Order: sequence, then structure tokens, then C-alpha cells
Amino acid sequence: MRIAGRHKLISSMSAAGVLLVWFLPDGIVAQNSNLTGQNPPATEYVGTDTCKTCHEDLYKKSFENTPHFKTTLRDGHGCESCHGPGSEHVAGGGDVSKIVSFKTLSKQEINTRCMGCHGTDREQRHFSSSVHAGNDVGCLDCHSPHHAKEAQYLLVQKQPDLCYGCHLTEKAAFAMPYHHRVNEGLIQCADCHNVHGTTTVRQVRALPNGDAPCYKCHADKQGPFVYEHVPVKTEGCVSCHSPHGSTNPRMLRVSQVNLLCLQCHSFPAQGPAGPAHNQATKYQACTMCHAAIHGSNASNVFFR
Amino acid sequence: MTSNILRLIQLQVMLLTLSAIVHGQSSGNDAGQPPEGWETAGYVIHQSIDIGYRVSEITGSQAMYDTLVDLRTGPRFLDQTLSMQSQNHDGLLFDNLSISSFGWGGDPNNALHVRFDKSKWYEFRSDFRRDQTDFDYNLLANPLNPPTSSPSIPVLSSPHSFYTRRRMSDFDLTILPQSKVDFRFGYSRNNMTGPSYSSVHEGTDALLFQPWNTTLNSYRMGFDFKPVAGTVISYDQFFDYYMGDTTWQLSPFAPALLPGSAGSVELGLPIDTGNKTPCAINPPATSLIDPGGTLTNIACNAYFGYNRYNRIRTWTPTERLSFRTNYFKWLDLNASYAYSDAEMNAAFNEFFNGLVQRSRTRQELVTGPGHATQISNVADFGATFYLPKHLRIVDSFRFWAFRIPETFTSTTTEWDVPGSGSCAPPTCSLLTPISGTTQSAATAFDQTSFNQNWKRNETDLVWDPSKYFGGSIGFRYGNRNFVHVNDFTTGDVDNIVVHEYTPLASLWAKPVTNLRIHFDFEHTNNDNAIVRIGPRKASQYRIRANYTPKPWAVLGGSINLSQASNDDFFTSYNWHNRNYSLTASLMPRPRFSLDLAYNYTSYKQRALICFNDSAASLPVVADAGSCEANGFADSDNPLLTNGYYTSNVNYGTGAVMFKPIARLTTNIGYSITSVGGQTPQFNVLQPFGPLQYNYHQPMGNLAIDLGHNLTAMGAWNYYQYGEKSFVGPTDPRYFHANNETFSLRWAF
Repeated sequence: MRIAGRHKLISSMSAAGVLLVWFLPDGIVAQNSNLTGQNPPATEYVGTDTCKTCHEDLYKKSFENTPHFKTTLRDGHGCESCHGPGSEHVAGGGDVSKIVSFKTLSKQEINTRCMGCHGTDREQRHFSSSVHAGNDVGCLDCHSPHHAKEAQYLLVQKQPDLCYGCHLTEKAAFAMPYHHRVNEGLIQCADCHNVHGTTTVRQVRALPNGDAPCYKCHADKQGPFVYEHVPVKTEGCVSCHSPHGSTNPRMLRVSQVNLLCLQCHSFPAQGPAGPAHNQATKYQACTMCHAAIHGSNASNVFFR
Repeated sequence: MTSNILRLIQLQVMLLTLSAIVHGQSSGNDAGQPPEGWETAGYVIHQSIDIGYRVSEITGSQAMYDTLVDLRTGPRFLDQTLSMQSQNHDGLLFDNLSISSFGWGGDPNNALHVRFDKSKWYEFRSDFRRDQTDFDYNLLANPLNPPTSSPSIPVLSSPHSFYTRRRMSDFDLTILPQSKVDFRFGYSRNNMTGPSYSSVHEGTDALLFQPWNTTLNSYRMGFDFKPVAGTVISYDQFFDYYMGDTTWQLSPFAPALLPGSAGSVELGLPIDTGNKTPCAINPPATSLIDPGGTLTNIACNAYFGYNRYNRIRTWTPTERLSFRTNYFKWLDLNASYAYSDAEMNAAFNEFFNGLVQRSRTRQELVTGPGHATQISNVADFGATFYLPKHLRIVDSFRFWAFRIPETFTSTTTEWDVPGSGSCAPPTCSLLTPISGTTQSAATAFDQTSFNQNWKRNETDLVWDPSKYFGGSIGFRYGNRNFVHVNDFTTGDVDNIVVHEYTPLASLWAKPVTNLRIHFDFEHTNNDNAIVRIGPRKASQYRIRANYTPKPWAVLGGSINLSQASNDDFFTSYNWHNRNYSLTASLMPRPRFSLDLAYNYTSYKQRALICFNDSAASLPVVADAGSCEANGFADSDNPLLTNGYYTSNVNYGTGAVMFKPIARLTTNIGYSITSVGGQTPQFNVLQPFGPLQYNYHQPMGNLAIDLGHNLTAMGAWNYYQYGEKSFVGPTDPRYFHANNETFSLRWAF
């Protein structure tokens, strides 16, 4: 009953929010539409056809066949959507100082222009608060609207090489013998991290219910279980595994499973009791008996 | 076999080289130009297909090769791309279409990506990914049966193995993507199947066949509403349905006959008669199994049968409302809230028939429903305030709370042999019929609850006054409240509150145009820890530099130092991961390039541990202290030592690309991962395995443009894995392998 009530509450809030903004006076919208990071037009728009008279080659090869072509649709201004109104640029005989050139803008200015359109996309919503934005990594460090090597998302380079350009530690981790299959092309850095920002540490994505993204692939580990293994839920997978790569099988943080277990299961006064098993006898790996170590529905010691 | 392959390679190289020279002389230098594509029906079409054959020749441990490489011999559909683009953006069904895939025909990884859209009407994307895991590694689970046992049944490879295949599909459709209101629908499926093996303990450990079968179906739909410029309100509804249909059944490993033609019985994995596993030898017998294959001690822990079903169904609806605006020039604002309530039901049924010597159990049936609910609340908030003087304040807040009430109502029915004490013939044995046992049933009700409430807020002041330097300082505060009700009846509750305080800062500079240096650090103080090796202090320092002295030369370097500790007297946990990297990418001529990279990692993780070990000859036992004498009261584990693991990893790689003529491209390269580490040995049989090894991977390939949009390619990859440390009683984990791939690529 309480759960159903919560669902209804969210649905009602959504509907109320939609209605509220739907009836916002048009004047407010118009009054503020120039405050979204784009400069007010000092000159007039000349239209894409005028741009093509001089930049036809660029238009044909590096604009018309990109997703940015959509800026020419509806009420968009095509080239001038990003470069600003071009009447003075045209009147000046192509004077580059009379139009917005991204070569002369700071990263922050470039980001603001891009986010004027892309800021509301689900992926880029947190960009202004992202680690990348805070460290002078701008849109054009990874994307090239006119000279992309990777058509999808107009990237300057394919993943993961693009990410490896700065993240050398991670490049080495993925080269280790046991690793997630990023170099093989099966998954990408962006599957687990939102490079445009999140509210989590390390820009790690989260599933809608707040769980780690690991469970999208490793669905059997998500639970909920009748008997939860505490660190799985509280510390996350990284408590025992190195997520990028490891020199140890199963990407474990240490080479021997028993040592990993004993580091927590040692002193009953401190937490979970240690095993009574004689390590010299048959017990090679704790997980041989404690097979359901990620969580169990029938055994509080994770036997089954 | 090897010589045939070498001759094949030589022939291929010779033919390809001759072909390239002929073409290079006759057709000028038009190679290397991007294909023009094919124009038809208003679309520009580009396509490529790469078909070939791979030869794999493996020497040594097939299990290790499968674990690390897993590429097999056979024909392959290596790679494929197709793109169609409407010339005038007026396609009938779509304006843009892109299909790409790789790895078909038996490779361990293959994927298919499909995208198509029609400008303002819709966007569709779909991905299919399949990966196979052939995991058979001796170290994770191996009973390491000693040679002193009689009989001695060595286990040379891990009985626990996985041969699983995971197929993941994602479909996402967005309707009216550029409109004021857009709608989206999606579906994902994750199915993992395949044979695997695990074990169970009922008196002794038995090998179980575990046909893996899990499926997650995810449905999602939602809409974005953009009422004013830069503002969007979104609503999403997610439904996840997980099905766990993995089952377990007894798998024969060490069968023995019973006396009197009473059939056979399974003795399980660990055979260590010196330690009475699965049972002791009864004199005058000298072996647990006589030469005729008959069990000499019929009051032995053993299995006639075992099976288990645990049908899991988890239904997780989640809904999320989010809001984002950059409507005001001085403020970016984000907020979202999600509510989720997962319901898990697990019908459990476990049946055992055999003998548990200690409890005199001949048969056991455990049934019962397990139930768990996870109620999650997730809220986040982000704001960026743009201040004058190139300053901005960034705030990120995240709240994540879940509570998981759990119940398991089990009914255990046991058929025990009457009497007391450990089972002994003639009144109690494996031959005791079920009709001669006493049946009893007991019901248990476990009710627990697992809850966590976590709030975290980070505020940063970011300053980027010029294009030459900038930086930020910030502070992260966290508050985590963990409540684990272990038993409602006794009031056994763990309640741990952790406060986190983390100052952090970063600096970046571009002293010259083509040099970029970045530094950041964070230092975390936690006033408590939920798990023993949870850090009370953690810090990270990172320096990265990229230098491009010439347009064709890119140099990079990084230092990444992470460390954590828990200085609690009873824990003394210490961890570090220090990483140093250098890289260089040079392409002074279009026909020549050189890539080099080197990385060194020093890893350490240690904590005080108490353990129980009778192998007095091992240094970790001989040098161990007394837990009790040092104030660690643990009667089960009297020995105290510093449980450590250290690992030093050197990784180097180099690759050269050379185009002697326009139509011929060659690459050669080599990479090595060299691992050296230390850890205490707790068991004389325990192999060190991945503690010390070298992994070499040289490679070479060439591609010849044959003209007519055809390219012939040949590739050679060599893998050599060898452990330097003590191998132990299991098979040596060494292999080397040659993989040759010959393919033809057609692209237009």
C-alpha cells in the first residue's frame, strides 16, 4: 500500500511539473531564451546557403553528412547555430574576426556553446559539474564536429584509444591478462563511466535503483538475496576485484582467495568470525565450499 | 603441423608481397584513398566485409589458453560495416543507417551494432553482444589431494570450471527526438547459459554439475518535456525481471563400489585419508578402496545422489523523475529522484542421499521459500553557479538509501540412522536402508534486514582564469548509516555509522602550447569502517602530462599513487597501488609510425590475520605469533601473522608500422607483462600461480591493397604464458600458442 502510494506520488509530481511549466507565460521564455549560454545576435543570420558559397567543400564533406545537419531543420540556423550570425562575416569578405571561431574560444566558452543545445541531453546533464569540465577538458578534446574520425558521436578517435590518451594507468590495466574486454571491442569505457559527469565518484554510472553498473552484465550478482554478503552491498565489487584489469584470475585483488577472505574474517570481536579450518589440509580455496559468495538465498554462510 | 603452417605463411607472404609490388608498379599511388561509396536510390552506401580463416596451434595448458586467449581454429566472419546515408535527408524509412559487427563464427567476443534514424522523427539503436568465458583455473578451487592419501587421486586441473556464454541485447527507440516532447522505449535482454561446475558440502565435498541459466529482461519507457529553452523534465519507468534457473546435480568424480553388489557411491572431491577425508581407513585395509574398486569403510561420508533447485524470480520496477535547466546564464541545475522496490522470490529444494558420518544422516530434504525485498530511494542534485572572475562553484549531492527485509522459511526433513555418536558399522553405514532410519522434520524461520542510508555532498570551487592554467579545490562530506539486523528475536544488530571527510584539489597548466600538465589529489578520512579492510584513510595523487612537440609526435606520462589504511590495532590494514606510465606515439612519415608504452605497477595489500595451520615447516606458520598472547582472542585460529600480498608488474609494448610501398602495410609489435610478487604460503600443496609469471605477446601483420576495393591481410599473434613460481601438484600452467589469421577485405 505504502509502495503503491509512493509510485502514485511520483506520477502525480511528474504530471504537476509538466502542467506547471506547460503554462509558463511565453514572455518569460522569450525573455530568458538568450541567457542559455549563447550570445545575443549582434548581427543577422544569413542562412546556410550563403555559407555554402564559400565553404561548400566543408559543408559537403564535413557537415551535411553529420548529425549536426539537423540544425538546419525546423527553425535551426545550420552553420550559424554554432558559429553565430554571419552577416558581418559575409560583409567583411570572410573576415574571421566577425564570426565565432572555435579556435579562439576558451574551453569554457566552447563548452557553454555546445551545452546550449546538448546540455539537456540525458548523457550531458551533469557536464558542467563533471570532473572533465573542472579540469579543462572540453567538448572539442574528444569531439570534432567537422573532422571526426569516428562517425558515431563525432569522436576524434575511437574508444578506448581516445580515453587512453590521458588515462595511461587504465590503458595498462586493460592490458593485464585478466581484464574486462574493452580492448576486444565488447564493452567501452562509456558503458561503466559517464564521461560527461555524474553525481557519483569517478563518474561511475549507476543503475536506476542506485546499484553499481556491474549488474547490467553480472545480473546474477545483483540480488536482493536472503543472505547478503556485506561487502558486496556496502563496499561494492571493488572490495575484492580490480574492475579494469588484474594479474590475478577473476580480476581479484590478491592472488590467493583465502588470504582475501582472511583479511576480513579473522577476529570475531571485530566482525565476522574467522574460519576454524586448518589451512594446511584440504581447503585450497574458501570459495570451494562457500560457492555462493556474492549472496545466497538458502545459506547464511553462502554454501548454496 | 607446425612446418605446414610455416610453409603456408611463407607462401602467403610471398604471394601477397609479389602482388603488392605488381600492383604498386602498375597502378600508381591511388591506394589509401577512402572509398567513394556507391550511390543508389538516393543513398550513399559504404560497406566493408572482412572474411578469413584462423589457425590456432597451442602447446601446453589448453585450460590456461582458453582462460586467457580462447581463439580457435576455423573460418571467421571477422568484421563487417555498412552505412547508408540519404543524400538529401529525405529517405523513405530512414535517413541514416549504420550496421557494424565483428567476431562471427566462433570467436569468444562478437557484437552487432545497428543504428538508424530519420532526422526529426525517430532514432533507433540496437546492440547485440556475445561473450564466452572458458574458465578453468587451478587456483580458485582445487582440493589439492595429497599423495600420502590412499588411494591417491590427484586433481591436476580445477574441478570448478565455467564454460558460459552471455548474450546481451539492447534496443532503444526515441520518437520525435527534436520535439518539445520526445518519447523513448527500450528493451534489454541478458541471458547467460552454459555448463559449469561447483561443489557442495554434505559430510564431504561433492562435485556438482551446474548448467548455468540466468536471464534478465529489462523494459523501459519515458519522455522528455522541454518547456523552455535549456530546460527539460524527464520521467522514466523501468521494469527489470530476473530469472535464475540454474540447477545443481551430482557429478561423478571418485566413485567406488559398495560391498555385496550394492551399487556404487560417490566419494567426492577431497581424498585425504590421512586427515580422514572423506573418512579414515579401517585396518586391516590399507586403502579406502580395495584393488577391486570396492569401498573398505562403508561408514564413510559419501553421496548416492544430490540435486538442488533454486528458482529465482526478481521483479524490479523503478521510476525516476528528473529535471535539468541551464535556463539562467549563471546557473546549471540538475535534480532527480528514483524509487524502486524489488521483489525476489526463490523457491528452494535440496535433496541429499548418502551418508554424513558425523550426524548419522542418510538422507536429507530441505525446502522453503526465500523472499527478499529491496526498497531503494535515490536522489541526486547538481548545481553549477557561474561567478565573476572565471570562478564557478560546483555542488553535487547524492542520496542513496535501501532497505532489504529478508526471510527464509525452511523445512528440513532428515532421515537419520538411530543411535548416537559418529556413524559406525554394522548398525550405521551407507548400506543402512532408508526404511531403517528415523525421520524427523524441523522448520526454521530466518528473518533479517540489511539497510544502508548514504548521503554524500561534494562542493568545488573551480577557477580557470586563462587558457594557460586553472584548478579547483573542494570538499566531499559523506554520511553512511549501515544497519544489519542479523536476528530479530535476539536483537542481534550491527549498526555502523561512517562519516567521510575528503578535501580534494586539482591543478592544470599549459605552460607552452603543446604541453598539458594535470595534477589532482584527494585525501579521505573515515571515522569508522563497515568491513574490516574498509579504509579509514585513503589518498590519491595523480599527475598526467601530454606533450605534442610536433604534429606527428605525441608523448605522455602519468603517475598515479593510491593508498589506503585502517590503523586499527587489531587490523593494521595497509594498501597501495602505485602506477607509473610513459607512452610515445610517433609518425614522422605517412609510411612509418612507432608506438611505445611502458607501465610499472607496485601493488600491496596487507592486514593482520589469525589462522589455523598445522604445517609447521612453512615459514608463515613457523614465524607466526600467538593471537591470544597479542590480545586477539580467537580459539579457532591461534596463529597470528601479517597477511600480505605484494605484486610488481612491468608492462611494455612497442609497435612499428611501415609501408614500404603504397599498397603494402606492415605492422610488427611485441608486448610483455612481467609479474613478480610475494604472499605467504598456507599449504605445502598450494601453488603460487599468478604470483610470478611472464606473458609475452609478439605480433605481426601485413595488408596488401589488391585494387578493386580488395585488401588481403595476414596476421600472426604469438602468446606465451609461463609461471615463474612454485607450480605445486597441479598441471603446470604454461602454454604458448601461434595464431595465424588470413583474411580478405572488401570495402567500398
